[in-house]
Order: sequence, then structure tokens, then C-alpha cells
Amino acid sequence: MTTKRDWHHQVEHERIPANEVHETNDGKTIRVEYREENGTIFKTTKTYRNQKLKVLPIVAERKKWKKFGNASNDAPGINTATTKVDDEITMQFISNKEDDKQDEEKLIKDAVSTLRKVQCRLCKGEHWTTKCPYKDNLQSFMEQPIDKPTEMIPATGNSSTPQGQNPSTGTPAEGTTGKWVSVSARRPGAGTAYPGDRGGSTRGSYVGRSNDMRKQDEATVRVTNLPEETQEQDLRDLFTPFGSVSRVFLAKDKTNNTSKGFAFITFNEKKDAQKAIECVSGFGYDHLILKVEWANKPQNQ
Amino acid sequence: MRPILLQAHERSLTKIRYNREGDLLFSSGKDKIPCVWYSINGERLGTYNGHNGTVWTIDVNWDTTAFVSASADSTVRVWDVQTGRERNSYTLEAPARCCAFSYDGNSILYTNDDVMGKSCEMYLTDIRMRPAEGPSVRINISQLGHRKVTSALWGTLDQFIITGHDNGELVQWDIKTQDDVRKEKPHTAQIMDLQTNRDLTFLISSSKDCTAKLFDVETLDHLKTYTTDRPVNSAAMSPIKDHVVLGGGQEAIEVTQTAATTGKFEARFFHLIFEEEFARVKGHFGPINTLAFHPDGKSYASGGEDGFVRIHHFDNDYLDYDF
Repeated sequence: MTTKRDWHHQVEHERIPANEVHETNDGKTIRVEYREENGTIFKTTKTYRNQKLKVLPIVAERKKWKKFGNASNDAPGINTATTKVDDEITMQFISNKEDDKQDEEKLIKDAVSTLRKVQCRLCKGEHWTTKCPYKDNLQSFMEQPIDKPTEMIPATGNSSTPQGQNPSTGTPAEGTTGKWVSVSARRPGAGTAYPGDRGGSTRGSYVGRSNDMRKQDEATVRVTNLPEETQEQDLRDLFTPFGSVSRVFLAKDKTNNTSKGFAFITFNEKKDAQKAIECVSGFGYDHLILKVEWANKPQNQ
Repeated sequence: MRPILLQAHERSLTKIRYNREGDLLFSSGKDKIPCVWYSINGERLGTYNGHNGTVWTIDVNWDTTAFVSASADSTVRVWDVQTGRERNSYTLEAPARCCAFSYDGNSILYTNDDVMGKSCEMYLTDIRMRPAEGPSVRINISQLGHRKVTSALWGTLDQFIITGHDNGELVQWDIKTQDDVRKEKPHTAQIMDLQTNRDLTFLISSSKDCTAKLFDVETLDHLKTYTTDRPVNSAAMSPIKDHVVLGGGQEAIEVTQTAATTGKFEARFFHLIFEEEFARVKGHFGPINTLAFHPDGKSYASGGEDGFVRIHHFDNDYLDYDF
């Protein structure tokens, strides 16, 4: 074995840059290490955060202790062979909040079901008409045409409320249960009722929402595939020909304030929105083809 | 949070301990070399080389000058914390199991296993005396009708000692009379670990019978029970909150037969008073053998059967958490 290495080894060795350590202004140390494996040079950059802590004098004293035992050859600072920082993990909280939510949902469900209680057309008992014990006795009597119209109202209202069509009158119609019905539950027909409500799943937030809010949601279209340079004014110019636009929301990147490529346009009228969808969808706008669709996919259709 | 992973032990961990200020973390495993680490960044300060068998238990005295370890090589050794040099070595007739420093740091207690035809005994020694002088107190536990001691610690004001046994028994010993003054059997299986809270008023025991229980240190009154679905190997109390952390998992012998996802190796956080679990921390891929809370309550460390120690510095979501 020669102690002096061959010249080409030296050249090879010089190809690997020396490790660098430098500190940044924001209190971080950056260590750049180079190593060679199978002819390729790997560069590793490690960033350490320097922290100054106020500790007890004895703790500060212990921090200066010399390393010993198997660690005696370790350089000051962390030895990456024994200490690593693992992947981010989160503490999983097991809270009772979900239970609370479920309880709330159950309450609403119960309330809804009491509002829509099953009512027999014949005897007004709480059972289906076909299960009525007086069916045979009363049916012939009911078939007389005089009583039919008044009795049919609650029958059709089996799934919705038995209240009349005009809530402003306030007086319950003849033949209803006479129970108080909340304003939100006095919604006239199934057309405006939210699908979630009908399905029995609780969409509690909708109950409290005002009517025009819902209307606004319905008259909103989503525009996608917008070019990056788009401004809100451009969209206004593009959509006002179809009707009055009440709101334009253009999603922008927080950092460079350019468009993210989609926007929401709210019209005052649903039919204007419909018109806009028909006309602008597929429209070539600044080298891109726009896509326009309903913001909320109509679930009841 | 991003845990710091300490991987110096080649085999499973047996015990981890913080010193009084919490700046140093001591760890021991079934490999023969206990280590000491800076808890703030996980930097290894040193190792205590010399044992020739599994190190079962370690302890450090109050001013972090002396460190004691009990090993299966039938020795109990006292080390100088700063240099890693061995100060004293006490040789027993059977593998040593437990060791603990008294509050004043002058005395140690240690026990041996009841194997090789020997009986389980407990010894008390003043570390200022020469080992050749022999222990100042020697209690034959097997003769008094108790099973093997698996965990032991000093009680309030160093007046008594509490031992946990491998049949789930908990015994309080009076040091002066060398007598078992209180005997309880709260667990149905082996007690794996005993820990106290910071002011030595509560004691928490962890057992293979899947529960951890809280006791009054002086009266051994049973106060609370924390029930899990797996053997509990270690439980620690938070010094700043009414929280308890439990670590466990199925027994080491069954680990290879189950997937890590079903192994239930998480650390589980319980409320001290309501006995209700509120959070879990995953990470180890083997059962957690030992747990310790940092004395400031803002981090905790766990050592597992997988040979890793993980130091977890809590995020604000835990520190702000109100039960």
C-alpha cells in the first residue's frame, strides 16, 4: 500500500466540493454536504433552525458537556446516524363533538317527522288510510262526493305540511291537525323545497336561510378555463349582455394576484343565467374555450 | 408535530427517563448500552458502556450527577452522568430487575428476579458507601409470600417503597420495620410500570390486564381506572394538565402475526379525572414499552419494542385543548 494516492484519485477527489456551512439572516444554519456514490455526486442541503432559549444555569452548563461513550466521536450538533426528524404526524383527537352533531340531527329529524305525521283520511288517526280499522265502515260513507274535497287536502299534504297555500292568512284550514307550523315549514310546494329536506336528511342550515339567498345560489354560474390575465371587469363586460349581474367572484392566486382560471357569476334572474350558459359555454375567449355551467348542480332535476 | 427519532438502540427499549429539569433524556434497552440525550434536539450526549446484558431499569438522581442501571447481567451499576464512568457496581446472585434513586439521591433500591433457584429480594444501599460493605437493608420478598417484583419506586419523603408484582399485586413497604404494611391486588396480570406525578401524591400503575390505575401514593386507595383493549406497558401523568398518556400494544410475541395498522401501537391520551380517552398519537410500529412526560409538560417521549425513542413536542392544538 502506498501512502501517496494516485494523481487521478486526487483529481477525482477534487471534483467533490467541500462541505459548506453558512448562516442566514433569519437565524437558520444551512449545511450543504457533498458525497459520492457509484460515480455520481450527491448534494444534500440541510436547514437547521437556530433557537436561543433561556434556561436554568445548570441546564446551560450541561449543554456544554463533552460527549462520551459511543458518542465521543460525534461532532457538536446532531449526529444524523442516531437522530432523525420523522414525518409530520398529527394528534388525532377523539372528541364528542360528532356525537353532539348526531344528536342534533336526530332532533331535527324527529321534529320533521312530527310535522309530517301520517294521518288517516278516514278517521284522522295516526296510521295509513289502508290500515284504518274503520276502513270498511267508513269507506262507503267517504265515497259520497260532498266530503271529498275537504278531506283530500290533508291527504295530498301527506309528505308536506297540511297548512294552506297562503301562510299570511295564518288561520289553519279546516281539516288540518291544528298544530302550529313554523314559518320555514310552511313552504308551499315541493318545487322550492330543498331536496335534502324531503329526503329526511337534515339540512338545518337551509331552514334559516332567506329565500333570496337561495335564489342567488340558483342564479349563479361557474365559468372555468379562464385565461390567467382575466380581470373581474372583463367578466362583467362579458356577462352583462345577458342580464344584470349582481356579483362576480374571480378566484385569484394570493401570491401573484393572477386568475386561478375560474369564476362565479351571480345574476339577478335565473333565466339570465340560463341564457348565459347557453351562449358563453364553448365560447372562445382569448385563445381558450370557456366552460360555463351551473354553480350548484341542480339536484332536484 | 414532527417527532424526533432516536435510533441508537439495537433492540427494544425498556425504560426512558427525564432528569429533573427535563433537559436530558436517559434511555435503556435490551442492548447493553444505556444512552443519554439532549431532549431539546435529540442530540446524543453519551452512552454508559459496561453492562453485559439487558438493562431493565434506569434512574437518575435529582441533581443529575449519578445514574443507576439494573441489568440482567446480575449487576446494578451507578455511573457518573457527565463522563459516563462507572462509580459503583453491585453484584447480585440473580438478574437485577428494578432500581430507583431515593428523593435525596443518596440511597438506591434494587431488586433481583426469582430465577436460578434464588428468591426475589429487595436491597437498599447508600451509594456513598463502598459496595463491599453490602446493602443496608435486604428484604426477602419471596419469603414474605409475594411474587416477583416488576416495578418499584420510593414513596413520599423516602419513608416507604411501593412495589408492583407480576401477579398484579401492589405492596407498600415500611423501610424502618422492613415490613409490607399495605397490600392491594388491583390488577389481574403483571404490573408493567409504576410512575408517580410530580409531587409524589398519585401513583399510576400499568398492567398487562389492559388497564392503568390511579392510586393515592400513601394509602394505596384506588381512585381511577383507564381501560384499553390491549396490555398497557407504561402510563405517565402530565405535569401541567389533568391528562394521562398510556402506551402499549399486544405482546411482543404476537407482533409478527399482525399488521402494524391493527397492532394498536398508538399512545392514547386519557383525561385523568373523567377516565375518557380524547386523543391518540401514532408512530411506533411495535408496542410502546415505556413513556415519560417532560417535566414542563410540553413534550413527551416514548420508547418502543421497535427500538426507537420518539420525542414529541406538542403542537398548540394539544396545549390549547380543553377537555
